[in-house]
Amino acid sequence: MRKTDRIQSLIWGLFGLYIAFEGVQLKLGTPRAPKPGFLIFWMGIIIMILSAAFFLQSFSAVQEEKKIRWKGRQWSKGIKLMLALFLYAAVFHWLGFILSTFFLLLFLFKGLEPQRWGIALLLSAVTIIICYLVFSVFLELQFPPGLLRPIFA
Amino acid sequence: MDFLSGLQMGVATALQPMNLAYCFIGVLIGTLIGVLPGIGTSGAVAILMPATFTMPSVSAIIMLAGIYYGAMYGGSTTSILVNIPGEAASVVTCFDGYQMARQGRAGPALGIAAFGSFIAGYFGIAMISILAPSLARIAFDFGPPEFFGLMVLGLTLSTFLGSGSMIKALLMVALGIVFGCVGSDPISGTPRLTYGVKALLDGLDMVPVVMGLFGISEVLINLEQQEKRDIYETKIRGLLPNREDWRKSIKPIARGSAIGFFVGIIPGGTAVISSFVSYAIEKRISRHPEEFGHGAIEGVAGPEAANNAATFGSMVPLLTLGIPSNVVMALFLAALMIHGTTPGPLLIQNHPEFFWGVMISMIVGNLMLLVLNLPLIGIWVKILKVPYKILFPLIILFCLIGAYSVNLRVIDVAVMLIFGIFGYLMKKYEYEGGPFILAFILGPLLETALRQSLIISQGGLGIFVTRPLALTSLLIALLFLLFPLIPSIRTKREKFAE
Repeated sequence: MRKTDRIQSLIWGLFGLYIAFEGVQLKLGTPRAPKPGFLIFWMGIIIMILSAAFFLQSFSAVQEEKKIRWKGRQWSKGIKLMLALFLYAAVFHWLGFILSTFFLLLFLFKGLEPQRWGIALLLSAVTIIICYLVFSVFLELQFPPGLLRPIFA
Repeated sequence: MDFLSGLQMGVATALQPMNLAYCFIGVLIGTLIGVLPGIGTSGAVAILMPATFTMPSVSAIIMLAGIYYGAMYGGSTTSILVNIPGEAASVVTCFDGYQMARQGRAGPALGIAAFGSFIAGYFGIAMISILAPSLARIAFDFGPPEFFGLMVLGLTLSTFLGSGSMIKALLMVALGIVFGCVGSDPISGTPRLTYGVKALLDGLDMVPVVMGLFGISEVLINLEQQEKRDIYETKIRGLLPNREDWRKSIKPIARGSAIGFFVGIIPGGTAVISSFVSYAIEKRISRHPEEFGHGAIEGVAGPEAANNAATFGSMVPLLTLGIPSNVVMALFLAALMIHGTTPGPLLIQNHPEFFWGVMISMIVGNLMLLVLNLPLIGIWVKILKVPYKILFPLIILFCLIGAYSVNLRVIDVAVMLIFGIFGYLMKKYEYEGGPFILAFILGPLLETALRQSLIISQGGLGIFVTRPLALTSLLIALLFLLFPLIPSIRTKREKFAE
């Protein structure tokens, strides 16, 4: 726990240094006429001060029970989910809202948790139809048609 | 405009069929959000905000407000029946509400939660109607130094009142301010921290950031855990509390209403904090504190009243000063700006139909909630049984639609996903999202107020000393920063957090 705190404080310190540097690049100006980098620079300094306090606190803090963050957790599901979502964003315009969302829902209903194919297909189809009617038709939100453009043109 | 004329205008606005319909949709969705664990009020308001873009501003706020206070009602149902809070502000209701359910008293627990929320809601609306116009008049004299002082106080309080490490909370505030600076400088237009990405010139949009931090990250956390929901199988009999229940609950409801409202007004004060404060006070002054945690109805009545009253209290700084006091109010600020209505001291004067319309609509909404929550308990219980593996794809879908529909750009979806990962790591390493988001939203306002103050004072910091309200706010903020250094206060804060 203390080791983790120290690593975190070092990361914060480096981040604070980078932010202060960015602030200087943007020009600080003067207190009478502060420039775009003024607040950013001082936030960088504050982050560095806080990271130093965090680092020092890690030496004086009472040793707590080790927190179980990763062991025994099914964090691989999260990785699969995020990969699927980034892929969805990448193909969204090309495939279109309906197709990309349908395939995503199919993956979410079937790919991460045990589920029968029939139920996953039915839920995906019903969900996309309802979403299309509510958001596209009723609320008139504009979604890309993608490959289904000839049908919706 | 006088009080009676305002009320008349408000009634005319709120009772329009369309606004009644939006109010009903809002409270229904809010109750559903509150009942279902996995998506909080912030995420729900963020997701549904784009759906309000085509509505008039008063209708949009009526619906979003309905979602907000509706979620407070709904959250108590899962706390009492499942021992899982559907909404963070209902955590405390689990302590005694679930125990009451186990003793066969789920009905009175649900009933007193609903009635307590109802009474607190009306108290909150009455207080806003009285306080807001007066506060707005005082706020006319506020300048950049006063606004700077209040915002610093709000951010400091949000770190002090949080449950985790204060250093981590302050780091989140600083980080939020930095992220708030992404985009074009408000005065000179110079790009800052955009790395050449044109889409970032307008800054990071709040909606995808909130959805990522609170929606996507929550799904990631829940997916890796095996969720067990033991719904206490009991026949829910007798939703009306009996005379003894009322005797025990009426004073906690009154106290909870007052505590909740005034905690909600404080920037950084939230419904969660108000419910904990109410519970702690009721336990402290009770003649039978040993009953708390074992089915004391006071432990349900007070906190439920407090969390609902806090939702109304939190609207005061936004409507009168234009300063959001929590994440949901920050989203309301965004919604108002998108609709071209600027909250602040001039709101009540320039848009009385908006202010009074929303007030009257909240009166109607609270009545709708009482009707919805009690007879429909059976339906809410059935909904609770929907497995998470069916729910989470829907949550993800609504987040994706919400993020995209803000500006019709895929980059907002990408921002949401990145903040989803960020929010997940934050939760893993015990960093709080509330101070970050508040700072992210207040950061640009804070910077503008600071720079304007320095320009007015020609670079001197004395302006923050010579203006009484600015000085008072900054001194209080400093005190709250120094309090944790006092061992006895640090211990109390840590115990309260536990």
